[in-house]
Amino acid sequence: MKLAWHIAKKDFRRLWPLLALWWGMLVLGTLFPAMDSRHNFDSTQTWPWDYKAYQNTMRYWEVRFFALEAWNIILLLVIGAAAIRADSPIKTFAHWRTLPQSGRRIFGAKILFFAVFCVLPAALVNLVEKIAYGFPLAELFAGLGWYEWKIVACLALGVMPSALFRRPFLTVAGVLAFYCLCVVLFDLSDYWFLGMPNIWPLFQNNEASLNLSSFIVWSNLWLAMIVGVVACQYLTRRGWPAYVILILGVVLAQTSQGVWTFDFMAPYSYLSLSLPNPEPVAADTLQVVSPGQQKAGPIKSEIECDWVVSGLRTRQPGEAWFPLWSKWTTEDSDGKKSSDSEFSWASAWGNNADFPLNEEGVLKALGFTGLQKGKYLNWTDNKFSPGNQLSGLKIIIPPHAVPKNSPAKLTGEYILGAGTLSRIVDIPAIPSAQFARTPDIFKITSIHFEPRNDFDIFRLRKPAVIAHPSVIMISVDLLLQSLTSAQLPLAANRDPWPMIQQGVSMEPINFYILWNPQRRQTLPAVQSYNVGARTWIPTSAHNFGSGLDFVTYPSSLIFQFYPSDGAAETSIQEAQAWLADARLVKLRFTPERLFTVPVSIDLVTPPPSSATPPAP
Amino acid sequence: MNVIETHGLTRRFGRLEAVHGLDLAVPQGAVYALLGPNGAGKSTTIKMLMNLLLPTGGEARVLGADSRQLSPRELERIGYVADGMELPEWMSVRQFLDYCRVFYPRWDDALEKKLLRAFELPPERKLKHLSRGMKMKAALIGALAYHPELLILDEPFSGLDPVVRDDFISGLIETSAQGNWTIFISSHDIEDIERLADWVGVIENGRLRFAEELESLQRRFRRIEVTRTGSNATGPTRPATWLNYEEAGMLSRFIDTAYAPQETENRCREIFPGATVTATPLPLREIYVTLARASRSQTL
Repeated sequence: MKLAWHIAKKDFRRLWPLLALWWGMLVLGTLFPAMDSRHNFDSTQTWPWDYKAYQNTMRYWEVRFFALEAWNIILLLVIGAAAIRADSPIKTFAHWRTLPQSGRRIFGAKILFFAVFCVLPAALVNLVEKIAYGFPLAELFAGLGWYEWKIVACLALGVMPSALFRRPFLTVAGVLAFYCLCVVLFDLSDYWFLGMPNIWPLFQNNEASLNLSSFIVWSNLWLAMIVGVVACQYLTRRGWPAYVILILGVVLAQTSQGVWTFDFMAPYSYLSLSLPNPEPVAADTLQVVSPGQQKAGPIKSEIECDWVVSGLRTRQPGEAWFPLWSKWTTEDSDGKKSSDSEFSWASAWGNNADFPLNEEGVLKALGFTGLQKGKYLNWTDNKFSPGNQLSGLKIIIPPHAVPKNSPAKLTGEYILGAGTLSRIVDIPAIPSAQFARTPDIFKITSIHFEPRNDFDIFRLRKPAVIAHPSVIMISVDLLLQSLTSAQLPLAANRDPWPMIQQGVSMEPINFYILWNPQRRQTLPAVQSYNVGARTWIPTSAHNFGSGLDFVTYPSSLIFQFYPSDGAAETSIQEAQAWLADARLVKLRFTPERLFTVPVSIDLVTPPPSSATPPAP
Repeated sequence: MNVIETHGLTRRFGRLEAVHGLDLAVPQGAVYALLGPNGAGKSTTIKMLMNLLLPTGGEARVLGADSRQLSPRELERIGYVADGMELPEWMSVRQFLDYCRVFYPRWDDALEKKLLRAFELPPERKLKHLSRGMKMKAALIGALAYHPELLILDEPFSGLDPVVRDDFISGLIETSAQGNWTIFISSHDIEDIERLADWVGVIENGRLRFAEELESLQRRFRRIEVTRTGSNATGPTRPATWLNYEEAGMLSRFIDTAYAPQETENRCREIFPGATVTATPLPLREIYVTLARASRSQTL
């Protein structure tokens, strides 16, 4: 330990100017929003953000805040890389390798350096800030961590390439490449399910996150891999094991699910391969029928109706939602087979205690767009000639049927301040009635939430279907300052492709609500919202059709509650009183059941009305 | 006891075999010079000895330990200075020595001061502001001040001007004379090595051509000049140990690699009856050149 500290001190002696600069930015980054809040926020007057002057001031500070944030991260990258390169694990002429020091000790020294000179100061600043804002002691330490984790993530980003490449310029190129990869993958991962191969619209709409730390922090295994690579380099003093780890990590990323952000690269294989616990439903209990029919029969040339899947049993009552994966094959009169597939979704609901059926006693699947519109099963363009037969239709119902009111399955993560997860609380049950609009909340026209801490934003991915089927939304980002002045930021990223009306989710769905435990009331955080961009490049105000201009900085987001019926607004005091007790709770909907149901239709022949006489 | 021993030590870089089946034995207390032209495999060998490179075949033992397993305990007893070694150049000489000191329990402050004075190094000057020779001196102080049992020097004279080189060698000789150190030095500067070494190994194309005590080497290598009395040139019976044989008029000249005063003279007289034989000692440089040429023509 003594020698590790000796080495860490040596690195400090070399890097102290950079560290001092970074510490300064750390403090400034904390002070700026605090100064801004102090000068502009007065809870006794009307909402200050209604005033142009306030918005301009906010913008002024935010630009600086953003500039600081950018430099903050860049400096961290440089510090991380420089500290590693000072005792490079891969250079055969590295001085440390000829000294009586083990690689383990050097690695320990580097960790010590980062812990003492990077993470600890960040934690201290964070701590002082939270104390200044009146965080209760009991929740203080639980509130720490997220920010520091982000620091570690940024450091790791610089550290790994510097442990892999001999030359500084390759290190810089490696950092940049890895950064770009992070940004692109992070953004793509949100949109992949909607079939978006082109990220350009993201940048056009300023919706690219460019938030490198988010990508890494979301997937802790990234960090594990990075640290593993560096540790391996030091401990083995060889280059190749680290490269093996790196390649292995990337390969694993392609195959493992639910852990790596690379998952988005193989969503379909996830569907077909990852059904570990199929529902024991006998295939012969299922039928796919066209409307008005109870069994397989002729299909109209253009299908405009819903398909009804009968006999599908779920374990939970209430609303359920199913993504559907359908594949079918057609066979023409010559016996030539062709196949196609579609990914879609369906929702179903019912009130029966243990059998979510509609009035007809079947679980009704809606929104099976491919079949509805005839877009994919192209019945009308002669592809399906009279002599053809639909020889098989397979519907796979993949893993997540999410019950809405299932107490056993609903847990919440209670979020305290600045986006910090404090502890997890079970929410025993939320009656569906409390999801309804509570008048004294929904009459608030505009609530401006203002983070006082950092940029930590929770991103809720693809909540659209569970939250509100008509809302086009891919993710929701949230921050919270509770207990003190109930300043809450919340933003939602809108689907950039309006033509896609429904979102899908193949992962456990998280959902945020504002919860007032005193009043036992909840407010779904996505009832209405202001769409916005997330970027750390300062940009001008945008209007996304929500009727309100706002600056799309993470530190200045606006959450709107629209009056649903045009009724008079409630008083601000009422709203504040409600918010004062409110907590932001992240709900976690655990998948109810994973199952696959193949449905087969044999020899479905198009109706004679659409038949074209075969060529003579 | 051998401080360094290698058996079949081999290192490949892709298709290139930089070191091939090297068998070395460096006795304790020796100043062992590994000679060879550029690219012969000297530095690769030393890197393998220092566990900076992994051998692809064979094994090396340094201070009794497998070179792949060199632990801090062995490294405490080894001093290593190499040309082009990356030093923490942002440090001053003083900071550099202070930094190194902590790692070595046997660090000798008095010796450090003495060497600083002897090498005339400015302690407060940063390493990056030192000349190449001065940097090497600083590295050498850092490698000598803890009395290493084994000092490994990889091309330490390369790029040094003659004065600095002389200082360096003098310092090395003086310091090594104070204890029973083993010095393993690689170089292609033969004149400098001759002052320093008592063992010589010659490596070429990754193969050890020979290794021998310098004294024995110089004893058995002689330039022989034979002044013939007639036109009795040598026939096919010329011994294989005679290298670089040439004739000019009545004079025959060659280098005998197995010189023994009486036997060589007798042998010459057998071949050149009535000739006058003169034997002259060879400097190491000439021995090396002779052997290098011979090895190229595969005559040795």
